[in-house]
Amino acid sequence: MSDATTVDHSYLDDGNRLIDWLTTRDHKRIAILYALAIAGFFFLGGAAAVLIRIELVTPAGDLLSAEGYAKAFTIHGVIMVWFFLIPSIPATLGNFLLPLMIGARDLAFPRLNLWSWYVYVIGGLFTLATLIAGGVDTGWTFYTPYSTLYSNSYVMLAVCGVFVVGFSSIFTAINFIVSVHTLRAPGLGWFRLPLFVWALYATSLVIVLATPVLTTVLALIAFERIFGVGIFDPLIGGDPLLFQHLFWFYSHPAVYIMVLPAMGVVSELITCFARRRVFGYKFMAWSILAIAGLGFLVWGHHMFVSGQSTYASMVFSALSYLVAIPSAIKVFNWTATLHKGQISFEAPMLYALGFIGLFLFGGLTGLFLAATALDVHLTDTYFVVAHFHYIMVGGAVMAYMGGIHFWWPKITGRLYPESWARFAAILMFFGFNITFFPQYLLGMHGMPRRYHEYPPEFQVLNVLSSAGASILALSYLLPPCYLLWSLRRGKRAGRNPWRAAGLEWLSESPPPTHNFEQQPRATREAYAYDQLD
Amino acid sequence: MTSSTDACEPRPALPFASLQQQRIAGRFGLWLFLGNEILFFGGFVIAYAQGRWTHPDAYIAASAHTDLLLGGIESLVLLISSFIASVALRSLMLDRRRTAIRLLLAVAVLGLLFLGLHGKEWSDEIHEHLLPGHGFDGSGGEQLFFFIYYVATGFHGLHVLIGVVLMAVLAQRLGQGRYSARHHPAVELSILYWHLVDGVWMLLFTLFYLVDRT
Amino acid sequence: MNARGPLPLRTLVLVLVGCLVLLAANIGAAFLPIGSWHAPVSIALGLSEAALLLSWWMELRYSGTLLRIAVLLPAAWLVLLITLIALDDATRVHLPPLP
Repeated sequence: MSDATTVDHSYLDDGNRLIDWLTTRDHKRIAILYALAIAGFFFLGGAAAVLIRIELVTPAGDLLSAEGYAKAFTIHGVIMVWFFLIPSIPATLGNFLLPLMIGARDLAFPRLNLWSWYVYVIGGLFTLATLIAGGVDTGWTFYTPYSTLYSNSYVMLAVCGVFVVGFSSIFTAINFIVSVHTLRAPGLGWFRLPLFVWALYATSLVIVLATPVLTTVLALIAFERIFGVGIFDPLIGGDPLLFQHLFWFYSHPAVYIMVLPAMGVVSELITCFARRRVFGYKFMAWSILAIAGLGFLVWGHHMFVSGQSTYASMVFSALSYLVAIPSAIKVFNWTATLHKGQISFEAPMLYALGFIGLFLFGGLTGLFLAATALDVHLTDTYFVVAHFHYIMVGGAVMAYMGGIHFWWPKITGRLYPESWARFAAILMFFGFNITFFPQYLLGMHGMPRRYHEYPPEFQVLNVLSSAGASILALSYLLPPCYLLWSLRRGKRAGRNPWRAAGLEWLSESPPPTHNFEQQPRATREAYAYDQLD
Repeated sequence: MTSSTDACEPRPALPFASLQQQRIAGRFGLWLFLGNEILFFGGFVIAYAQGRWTHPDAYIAASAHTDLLLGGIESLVLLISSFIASVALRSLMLDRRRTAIRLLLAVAVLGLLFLGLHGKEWSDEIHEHLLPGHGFDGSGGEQLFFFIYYVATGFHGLHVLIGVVLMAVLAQRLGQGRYSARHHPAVELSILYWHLVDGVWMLLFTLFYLVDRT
Repeated sequence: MNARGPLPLRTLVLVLVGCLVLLAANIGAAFLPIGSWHAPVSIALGLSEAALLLSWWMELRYSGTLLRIAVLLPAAWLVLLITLIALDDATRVHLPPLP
């Protein structure tokens, strides 16, 4: 920005041949490598969603065969869950910001961090290979015995991809946990950490405690396919439900891997654009940990109609309601933070407010599904589809978009065009609701998921949903356009365009290679906007 | 203090301010990874336990087919290798570099011996038609037992193999003078890993060979 | 290995002896006529062997709380997993096999 000699060159000027990027150990560059790879997978998974929504415009199965439809929703699920949502916020925003937020020069293990990206790419190549070879039709859940003994699609390739990508999230998680423990700046006690750091820390704990079990269960599936018999095979006395237990022991907490970082981002945005301290900081921090912990106790609510014991279902149902408590604490505290704040509606704030609304809705409908009796009616209907899309797309993706906009000036040194961004944020909110709200109604009326045909009486709502999806698609295509434009044409941002609290804003925009010219010190609580203004 | 004869003092790697901080971080990171290993093998143990719960008699029958003698020798081999590994670390810290190299190589050799013995066991069992799938000689429950047996011991064997490679590489690098008596995170962490692989075997041995004997 | 320096050889040998004794006891116990006590006894012996290893050779007993948590938390999680699966298994209604 200025020509002062003290400004050393930013991480972006650190050699820009391809090899410089592919061998970098700088967490900021690795974050960008991740962001590019993840964006690629997002649009690939999105393309599958487009196929699904076009197919469902008419009741007849005219575009895709039943098998083709099964492959479309499977690849949509596999890509969006493991190659987009799980790594999205932690591996990009988290990777970029965590060292900056704790005032460190890098993550604890920079080389492991780069490895994590390569492992992700290898897993991604397996998934692409699955797609090219002819796809997989089991659904992203790989339920046995269909996946192990009956499916004739490329289950092994898909399982290998997910198996491998698990290691990449474990590597990132270990890196985050160790960094938060050992590399905090002087003065930065645990209860001065930004909530985003708390969220990443809790997310990492969940990853470390859950992912190995997924690895085990995927290995068991692979070997069951190799041997032709196995532990989940009821013909030799095995138990297919064991698969579901082990699978959901990972995959339910996986929802919190997606949504906890999103909550962290939202806490940063809300405080900045309401210019207030977060209401009940300690409650916010503890509720993050509580969600992470309780998230492990509720997996059985995915199995109410599976033949699981009724008593187990009752226990899981009761435990599931408990998760609502810390989640509600967070929603109330965000709302209370807004109270009497000097609110301004920049694009990141619009995304954050959108997150709160959609998360609230997704969370409340989750309570419906946690009720054993109601769940029998709603299982495997579009109600479930709508519910988890409200959490994962309405929640996690909105927060991801908000975070990208909020920290874009820090990452690139440029401001994005504000009015375009607001337009895209509003479009996304409405597009999302038009897409997924009708699916609640469809589910209540009993339309089952995972079929390419449906009775004609469901057509109106399906057309509405597909129309919403096209708006949503547009709103996802807009940000890449104007963000890329801003790389060259955007205004220079300066260190702290939002006048935000947090150590990351003390650094240059974009930050120099090792983040800070001098070791920063934390002199205030997090979100001390009252002292800042 | 047994300061090493190296010309240059070891310096902490990038984000760390001191060797002490780096060492704490490295150990913590590795322990988190070892915790992952515990959960990974724990998944197999749960699969084992559920099968045993539903098919107790088949497990007794199947367990009788495992080779207790070979399994016992394998346990002995791994246990001794683990002991040698801890002595190797001690030698390195006392700056007895040549001893440390020899001991690390001994650990690698014992690891290979373990793999050879276990390979023998596997091939015997395959000859007895105990490989799950077509032509398995026994009941469904016995197939469950052997399925988990092969998968769990197979993954354990993979871990041993990785350990053998690690030990060989460390010995070679130690010969090049890459690690000092004061600062040798790679050696320390690899040996921790080796101990855990040994500990996992103790449990697998107990479950597959001992629990249901008689 | 830490500020304390390397462990004395004596300690390392004693742990080896302890592990060998436990291994022998475990194999021996497999042949004792103790019926349904087999499983708990075996598993306890196997676990104590692993515990010896963890606390001395892997130096957990000389390490901070954090490292102990890094081991104990996954172990606790396994117990949690197995408990809730067992709850399902123990109370599940099994339909009679198909004719």
